[in-house]
Amino acid sequence: MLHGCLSPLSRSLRRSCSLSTRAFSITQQACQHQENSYQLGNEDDSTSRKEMSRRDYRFIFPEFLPDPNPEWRNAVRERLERKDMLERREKIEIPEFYVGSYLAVTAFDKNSPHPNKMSRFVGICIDRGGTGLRAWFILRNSIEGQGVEFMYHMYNPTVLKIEVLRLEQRLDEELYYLRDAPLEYSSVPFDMEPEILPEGSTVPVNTKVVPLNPRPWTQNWERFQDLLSGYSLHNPFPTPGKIRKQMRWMAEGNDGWQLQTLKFDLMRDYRNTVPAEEQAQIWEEVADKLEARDKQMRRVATKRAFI
Amino acid sequence: ALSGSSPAVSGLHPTVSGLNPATSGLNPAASGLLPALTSSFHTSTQLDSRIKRSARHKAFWHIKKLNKVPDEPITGENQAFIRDYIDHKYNGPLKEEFTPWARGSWEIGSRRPGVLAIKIGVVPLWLKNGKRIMTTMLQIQDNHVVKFTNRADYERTHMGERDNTPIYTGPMRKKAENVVGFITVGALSTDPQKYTKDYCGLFTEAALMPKRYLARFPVTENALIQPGTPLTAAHFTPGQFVDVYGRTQERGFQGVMKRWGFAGMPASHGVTKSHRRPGGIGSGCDKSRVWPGQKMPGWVGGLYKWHKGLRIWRINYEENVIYVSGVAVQGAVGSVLQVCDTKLRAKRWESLKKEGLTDGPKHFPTAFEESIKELPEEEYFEKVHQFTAPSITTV
Repeated sequence: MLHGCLSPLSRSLRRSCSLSTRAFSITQQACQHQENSYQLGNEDDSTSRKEMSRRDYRFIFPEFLPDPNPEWRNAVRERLERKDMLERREKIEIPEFYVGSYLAVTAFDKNSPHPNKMSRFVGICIDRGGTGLRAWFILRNSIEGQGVEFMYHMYNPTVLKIEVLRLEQRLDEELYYLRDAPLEYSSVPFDMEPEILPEGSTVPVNTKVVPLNPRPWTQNWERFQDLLSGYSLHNPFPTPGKIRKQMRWMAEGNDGWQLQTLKFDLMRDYRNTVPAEEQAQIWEEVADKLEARDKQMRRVATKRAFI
Repeated sequence: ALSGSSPAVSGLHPTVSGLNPATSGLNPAASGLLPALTSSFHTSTQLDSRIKRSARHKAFWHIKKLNKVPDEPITGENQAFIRDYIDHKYNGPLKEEFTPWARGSWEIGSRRPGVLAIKIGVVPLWLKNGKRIMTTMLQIQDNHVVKFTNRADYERTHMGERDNTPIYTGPMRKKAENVVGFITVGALSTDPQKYTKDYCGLFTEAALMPKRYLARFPVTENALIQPGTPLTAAHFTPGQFVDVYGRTQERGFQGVMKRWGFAGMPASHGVTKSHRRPGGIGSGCDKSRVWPGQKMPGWVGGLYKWHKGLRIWRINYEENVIYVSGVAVQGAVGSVLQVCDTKLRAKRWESLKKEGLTDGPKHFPTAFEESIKELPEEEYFEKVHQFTAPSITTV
């Protein structure tokens, strides 16, 4: 939708099928597909902890992995882009967050009424994407009864601060159905205080299921039920015969036709992921700086907490 | 403009006009064989879409590059010997130095050679006022000056004759008076075993390995560079404007809507089987036929085009990468392009008062070894936000 080329349907298909085992925080979907989808190397006991944690970087820093399309790949460009990204990360903290987390972004806005020309927006992250310097995310909130969405580029130098108010995951990788849900499900209070998770804990998964509003909808949500599990169509409203049939079929626990083909499509998985060897090279290149920066930010955070 | 060279084989060459009267060697208008121009005799200009300026074949004077007589099967030992010989020939001790050429200084109207660059990708940059711009990264890989051809020799070749022949309708290709010749630039050294002896012979004078790509640029006397000199990203200055010449992306056989921008017909309201078709192609009683050049479906893309007036925002001297404006640089990632100083009047050196570049490029005619050593890793145009700088809080 937003990229102009892929619908949310195909994008979520791509992502859900490339999710592999993760030490912590596995979504319901990934659980479902774990045994079926291609795994990037089986974990032996002999695998070092360091390597395992670096394998998880593909979830924490997904924009460092390049777009897998081989027509656009170039080693020199990717290297220079990563260098720029690391330089920007030295200037501001770009924290770990997932779709479903609550974020607050302070950005420079030359049209802002405030004398310091800053504007702060708080919202729930409904989607994130882009690779390299193009990485973006969308925050959604309700302001005076009106749903509002903001898209921010993560490496935009006018973005002054990105705070994670609540770090959590949802059942889906995209939450565009919140546009067709009651506004209370998209509301995040502007004065919310950051909720700090204890050190070393896993990222919690919020299994909330959002009931949708009556039709009309922005998308045909009855068709996405096999891929997105974070919403429900249990509102009583008249549905045409075919759709009711489909809903009943889904309710009985049958996989939709898309999943039935996709879970066997290994080549599709392969085309849509960066090979594990290349990923390892990339993390080797950037992990030291990222870890050093992370340590630095923790020191600053603990100092602040102490004060 | 930049034309394919005569003896040198060019992987990049401009389009050959199908309508140039010079192909006959005569000037028909002058000899009185053709009637005078009348309104009913619709001759075309360069911009007239009726005449398609597309040619995808190599010119007839190009020497064979890859059509090599296959060698006999060679033993492993002999293969190793050949590799050693090549290594010794091209990387061995330098011959005795000959007098280096004089280096001129820039003045208004100077023309210096460009470079051959590879498109490596598209990346966003931000300006200091917060604006986001998309830039294309072009990498200048292994460029060397191969040859200088003086103007007299050029004008005896097919292209030279063509340039000097007057055209009724359109600008002449004749070069300005101050152009003294053409410098051939080559990119990407490759194994000589791939190429014919004729092709490898083009590079012996400059003592270079044969290059995969060649291009030729007209030059003035003050911009002569000695063959064998490497060209790098330091050839350019951040903030200057460049023209980029290259082959556009192939789009295959396309219909009139994509090829010529026809409007098509409505999707509904009774339209029968004609939603993307051209519709009428004739004009009526007077000329009751289809005119030559009628716009129709056909092959789109794969043409050599100029993209002019692109600004260089940032140069990485380590990796030899320049960042130019926009996403529309011709070709896919990995394609080869000719990049040279712009000819647009408003963006030439003498017009760049705000950028402070009215004295010409920083390194003229190019950056030589001693200048390259002192360069930083990267240089930005003053308007570009550097990622090492703090966040933008004021315009």
